Amino acid sequence: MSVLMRATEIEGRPVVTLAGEHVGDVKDVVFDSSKGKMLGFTLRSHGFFSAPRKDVLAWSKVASLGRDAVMIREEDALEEEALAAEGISEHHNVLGNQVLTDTGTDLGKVADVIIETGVTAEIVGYEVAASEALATHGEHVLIPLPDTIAVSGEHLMVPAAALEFVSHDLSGFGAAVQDFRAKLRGGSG
Amino acid sequence: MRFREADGRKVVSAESAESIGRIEAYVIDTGARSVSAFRLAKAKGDATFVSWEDIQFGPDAVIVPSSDRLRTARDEAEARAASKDLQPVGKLVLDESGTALGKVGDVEFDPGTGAIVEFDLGDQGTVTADRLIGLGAYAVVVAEAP
Repeated sequence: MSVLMRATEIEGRPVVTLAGEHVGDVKDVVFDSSKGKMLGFTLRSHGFFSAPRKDVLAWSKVASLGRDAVMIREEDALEEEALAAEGISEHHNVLGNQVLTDTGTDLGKVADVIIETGVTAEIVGYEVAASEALATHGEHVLIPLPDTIAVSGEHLMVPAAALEFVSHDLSGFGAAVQDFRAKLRGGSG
Repeated sequence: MRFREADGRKVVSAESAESIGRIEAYVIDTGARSVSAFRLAKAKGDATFVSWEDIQFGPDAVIVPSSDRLRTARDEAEARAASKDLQPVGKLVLDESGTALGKVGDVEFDPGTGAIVEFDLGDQGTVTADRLIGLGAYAVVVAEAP
């Protein structure tokens, strides 16, 4: 089962082992900016069971990302070293970045990142404070992303066709992402 | 029998007919889903633990054959299990998917065997002990509702 959620919703959520021990809280969501994948979380360590350097939790080690806690199997799921620095960006780094279409229209600034979680965790969209180019100027809207996109950078580029699939809430957004990607795969036809 | 009912219950030596302590904390074997020992208050000396195998849980008192059945904690894990940190009453209950179900109001156990029967979450209902996965300082972790 896959679930859509905002990256900021996950921040501060406690990370708990299946043995019931609290190992830390989610500090930030970490992306592979070249592939649009979520790699995991940086943590704010907690309690005397957590060594100070073990501060990264890879998505593959997450047993379940729940409403009230991120569940992991073992405390040693935490990585000794930070994820390789190359091509990694934290969620906070894209907030406020300008989203441009590939035809040069400014859609607004990134307010949040929408993640689809399942076996893998993927960046499927941005929540932006809509620019004048959108009818809903000033409101927050959800813009779908292609399967592969750079998530970081000063400007975030999306295909102009994304405009046709803008949503206003998460409930319909999953379908919008699928339709948008189907259209891109279909090419001009 | 419930933990809140059993709290403070006197433990009496059959040999001397004297009270040798009162139940203060429970050592829970998470894998076996049972109470494996008690830690006693008001016991003389350092030996404050008594194993479930050495007691008889009567309706009005807990009977041990003699006071020499009292012992110290077997290891650090047992000492920690009997500490305030790992007592289940009042603790958050999370299911394995990371959803909070409520807080433990009380724990029902079988006075004949020590087996834990269920966790009572008050208004949030009950969780049967066969769903127990882990008991830590932060939460009681249980399997998702069937």
